[in-house]
Amino acid sequence: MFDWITALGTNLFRTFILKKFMAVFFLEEVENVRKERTVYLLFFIATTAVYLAFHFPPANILTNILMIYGITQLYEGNQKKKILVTMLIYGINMICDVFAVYTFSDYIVGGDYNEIAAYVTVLLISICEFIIERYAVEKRYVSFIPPYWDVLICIPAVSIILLFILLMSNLNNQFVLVSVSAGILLINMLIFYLYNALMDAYLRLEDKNLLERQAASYANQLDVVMQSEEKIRALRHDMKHHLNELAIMAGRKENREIADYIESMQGFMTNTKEYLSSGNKEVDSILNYMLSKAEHAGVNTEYKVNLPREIGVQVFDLNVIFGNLLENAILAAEQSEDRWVSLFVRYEKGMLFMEIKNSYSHHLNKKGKQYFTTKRDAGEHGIGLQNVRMAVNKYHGNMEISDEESVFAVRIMMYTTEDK
Amino acid sequence: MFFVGICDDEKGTCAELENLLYQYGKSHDLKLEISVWYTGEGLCEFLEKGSKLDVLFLDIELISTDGIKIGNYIREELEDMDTAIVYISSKSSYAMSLFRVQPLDFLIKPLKAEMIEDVMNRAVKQYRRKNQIFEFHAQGNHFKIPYKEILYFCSENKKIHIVCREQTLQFNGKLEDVAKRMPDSFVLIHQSYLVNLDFVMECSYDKVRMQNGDELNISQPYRKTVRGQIIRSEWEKIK
Repeated sequence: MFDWITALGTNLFRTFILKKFMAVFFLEEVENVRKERTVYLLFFIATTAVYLAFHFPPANILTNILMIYGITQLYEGNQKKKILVTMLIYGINMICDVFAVYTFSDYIVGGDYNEIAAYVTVLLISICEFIIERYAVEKRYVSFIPPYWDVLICIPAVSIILLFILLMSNLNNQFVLVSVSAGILLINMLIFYLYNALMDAYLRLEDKNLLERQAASYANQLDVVMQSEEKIRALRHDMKHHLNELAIMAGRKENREIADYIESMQGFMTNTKEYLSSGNKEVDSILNYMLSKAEHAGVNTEYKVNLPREIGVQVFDLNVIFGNLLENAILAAEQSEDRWVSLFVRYEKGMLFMEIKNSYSHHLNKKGKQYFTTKRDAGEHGIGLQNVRMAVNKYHGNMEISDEESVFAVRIMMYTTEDK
Repeated sequence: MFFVGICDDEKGTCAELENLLYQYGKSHDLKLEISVWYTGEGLCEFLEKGSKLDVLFLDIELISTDGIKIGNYIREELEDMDTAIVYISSKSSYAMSLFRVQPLDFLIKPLKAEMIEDVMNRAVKQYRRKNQIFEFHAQGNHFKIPYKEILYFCSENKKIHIVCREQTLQFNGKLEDVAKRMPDSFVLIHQSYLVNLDFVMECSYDKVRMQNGDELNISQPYRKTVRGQIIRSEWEKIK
């Protein structure tokens, strides 16, 4: 009876950690949630059943490896990586297992050691996962340091010590042993839950920064509109005078002078702060703001934006995408020799296509599919790109990054027809 | 011979564009026949007679019959999806209805040689692709249809139906084999559907809407590949 509770409880937690482990190694989430659940459930059932039915280590090892490999098939990536991940995860699992059994078996009389060791094993695995997520693989939140992570890691560590002391005291009451161990396990599960909540809070902080940029870009756009208005008003005010002047020139047949005069009038009318007017006010706001930033930074810009006035993409997401990508592009261009940024946006067949290119020369950090700027606050920028990826994924879109011959290019496609 | 139409009420723009096009033809060794209309009505009259253009440079802000109306007339009433429409305008803000026409590009006046170079290169490429021929055998006969007539292929048991603009044809074969023979603009969205992107009005992640109103689902395992193929094919068209 007790060994059943232990086996089910610890294995459930192990399945949960396994899922977190996968998220460390594979960037994209599994699309088909039902399939994902089924495969994890299958893992849980198969490993538990084999464990309970045979109590035969080789059978356990084989099922575990096969099932973990099966789980990796849910994710995108080549088979080499999948085998590596399988081995790595199972390797850690086994080390924890052996360590737990070996450490505790000396102190315990009878067959109880197996159960306690099982609890210790999962706790050890969860610590390993935590450490790997924090140190080894910089992934989702890049250099995001979870606040109080050192405090968090104390909890599973103290749990293991507690279990150890519990065993050392040579209690022969199986009920106490199992219930206390199970309780400690539950506390650790809750800690993981809280850890995720902390991550969310941190991301929300990011969102706040974004909203600030959005507000700044709206303020800029308001400026642009008001300036245009003012210029037109001024021109209208002087219109009589201008027409008079032109009539006199026409009378004298001074074609050259007329052309010059008209050109200077046009020059007077153009608003230097208004780079583009696609009619889509959200896109215009953010792009005018970013392009004026580029000009201040002394970066040449080239752009073509063909958009309808309304597109099915949320303003917030447009800000994440254009704001982050253009900010990165301008920064990189600023430090390069050629100093240019180009932008292309096009709506076609219900899809939004975007391309942002820039010149760059300085050393570019690249880890697998991950790009960082070499700026001081590199972490912030890594997160920027991650946020772009998340926004793009929301629209089932795709983002490709390439860097060739000192040109860095990001191409994005998003579907705009679905309700989000 | 490449048939180019220009429709703009500003005579200066027409002359300028005609000149740029002749230069393009000369430098690319391409024979062009250029026709110019100053009103939308004149152009529609020409099209009504069944005459075809390969590329049409069309002003959006034409008086009375504007560029949107002409675009819709070509795509919806004439059901002509293969004339490449290039909108020209002095404004950079566009209505959604312009995008439904699926123009090859939008150009902003004043027109420059590089713009014409770029857009004509893509128009010629697209023209060559659309005029390729699909050949097949059925009932002992040999058939030929140009790609620009095919909306999609649809398989049923061992039969393949070719849904064309005006008719539906059948032959025996495997859809996978057909898919392998076709360029990127034909996308296998389902084990029994192979669609021509040129006839797709709207794409979403899980379905496509065709020009004739048919909605076809993209089956789950195909979605990522389909997306990749759409991206490749559309970028080639727009840039």
